[in-house]
Amino acid sequence: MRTEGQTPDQLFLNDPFNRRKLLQRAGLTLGALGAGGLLSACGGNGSSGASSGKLGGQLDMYTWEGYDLPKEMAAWKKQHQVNVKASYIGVASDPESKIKSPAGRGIDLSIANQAFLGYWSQLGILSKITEEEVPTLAKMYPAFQKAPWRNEDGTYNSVPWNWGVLGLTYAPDRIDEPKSWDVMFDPEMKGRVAAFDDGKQNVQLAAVILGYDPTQLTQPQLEDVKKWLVRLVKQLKTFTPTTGDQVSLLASGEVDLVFLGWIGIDALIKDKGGKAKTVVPQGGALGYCDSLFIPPTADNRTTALAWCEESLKGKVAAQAANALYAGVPNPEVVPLLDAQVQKIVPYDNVDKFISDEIVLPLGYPVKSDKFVTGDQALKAWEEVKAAAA
Amino acid sequence: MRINRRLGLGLLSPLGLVLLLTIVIPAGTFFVYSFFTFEMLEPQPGFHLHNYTEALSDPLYRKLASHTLAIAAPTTVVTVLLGYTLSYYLAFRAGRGRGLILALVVVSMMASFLARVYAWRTLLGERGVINTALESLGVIHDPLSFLLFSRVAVVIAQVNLFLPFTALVLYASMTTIPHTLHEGARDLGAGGAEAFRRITLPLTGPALLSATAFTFFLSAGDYITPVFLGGPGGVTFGTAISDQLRIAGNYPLGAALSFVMVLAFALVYLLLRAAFKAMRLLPRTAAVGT
Repeated sequence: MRTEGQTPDQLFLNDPFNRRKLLQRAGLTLGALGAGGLLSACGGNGSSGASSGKLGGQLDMYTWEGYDLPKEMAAWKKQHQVNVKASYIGVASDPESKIKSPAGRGIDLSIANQAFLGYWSQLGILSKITEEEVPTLAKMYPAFQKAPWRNEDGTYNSVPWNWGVLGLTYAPDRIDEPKSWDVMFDPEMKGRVAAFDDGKQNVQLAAVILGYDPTQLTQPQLEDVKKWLVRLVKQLKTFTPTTGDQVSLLASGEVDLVFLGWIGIDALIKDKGGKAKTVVPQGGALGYCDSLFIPPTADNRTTALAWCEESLKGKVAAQAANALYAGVPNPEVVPLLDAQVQKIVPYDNVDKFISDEIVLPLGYPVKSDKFVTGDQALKAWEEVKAAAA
Repeated sequence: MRINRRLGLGLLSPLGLVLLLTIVIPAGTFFVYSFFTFEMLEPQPGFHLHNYTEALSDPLYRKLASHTLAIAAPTTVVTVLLGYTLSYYLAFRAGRGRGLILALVVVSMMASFLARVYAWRTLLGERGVINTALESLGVIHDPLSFLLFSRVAVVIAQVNLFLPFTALVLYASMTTIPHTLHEGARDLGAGGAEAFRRITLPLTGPALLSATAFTFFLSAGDYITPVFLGGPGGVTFGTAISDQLRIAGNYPLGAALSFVMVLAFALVYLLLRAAFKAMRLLPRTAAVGT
């Protein structure tokens, strides 16, 4: 209440600041601060990337544990003042739901198995990458310079980064090298086998073993796959939710064989004092190629591109491949690999190995009346697990 | 003192706001999702019942429900029996040791859930503590493989995980029983067993119902322990929900499965309540307090 001609003291006395007004104003202030904080928190995952076009700042990665290369990229990060904030996936399909969700906005770099590239392209979570942006793409083995990594317009949807085998991992200090997948069904192996709990890939591997095309599986073929998998599950000790779990079980002697074993286990188990070897038995195996991709909603595309380029060449790529026990798509890196790592895939004939001995499966069809979709494959795996329990 | 209604509402409003923001709104949103369809990883708004139809009619989910019951039922029975025994001892027999035992019970809950689950792997594995001890004592020649990666392992671990909660709920109820009732029963010639049957058990009936229901819900809803310890036998309804939400990204179906589970829990609670009433373990007044 203002009255003309009154002094400030008189105004105060006429309109005192009492407890009610204090509480009202404090409440409004707190509310404004809270709303501001809430709005800014809702605005994304809080990443503070560098401004567009500038290398540096925070790089948000959503990838496999170990793929964030904390040691290998340390010098590069320091040089360019890049701060990596990494969160880890559990199964290969995790990025598709995460990046589509509001929680995934701001992720700068993630990882894609080749099986998901077609589907994720349709989902719109892969941005285009050119050879101008990542020059080392032009130096890769021809096998990696085409679909599914390359789009029809010549751009790439992702940067092939490492590759290898998803086969049969065994403990060489306890059993002989398995020549066939049938070894898993030996009576003496009952309770000595583990399987990675990735339904879609398990169905694909079983399809390959049975001689079917894993990405054009018919319903009758899926029934055959389910029967085979039910037989397998009855031999299992357990399902493993993570690769780390597979390593632990092999190292502790709980299991001797892992179905859908990753070749990287051969290296990781050494830290636990164990031994493992991943092989391609008669009947074939799955291959994988993990490629780096940048979502269209990335905050720090410039740094993500620079990361792709740096991790694809030279000592960094070699150190990463040595640590992860993986193949490299850049032939210039091969001489820099450890002697043992050079042997895990046949670099003298990469194209033939990929075309004849392993299957790098593409994704399931999203919708099809003729072939099995990803959802149907996942449902089939759940039915297998339930049937064998 | 007459409580001012406005003051009461005002004092409760912060809690109400928290409950609204953390439970009511998220659960309500999730419930709405359960009626959507799912295409290309995008929930499509609408009102469709086919998620519920699938959840209720697909033999897969009925099978998973039976697997879940095969774990939750024995877990509940064993946990409640052990919890009741422990809480009875604490309330009426522990004497000076009560404080220490209570502290141990509370401290046991402070460890990380996942760490405690993993610890059971170390104990139950073929080269774990138990098998190693039994082999070195000559009790067994080969390790007992069923101890780990089996439903037995899940039940053992869940009993360990939920026993403190159950015991504390029951203990809180037992401490409200006046000692004079037991003294009076003794004076009137009742033995220990009769005093227990006619005084302690009925007076702890509501808490026993709560503890039983609570333990069952925790066990049936737990999918972490079956994943890490259950092996092929550890496939439950919860793992199916997790697969739909986390791997398939099918939030509508995952939501429908979740609410079917909530309905099932409500049914279980009603059945338990009816059973407790039939056994005269619940007071006849309306205010059961559960």
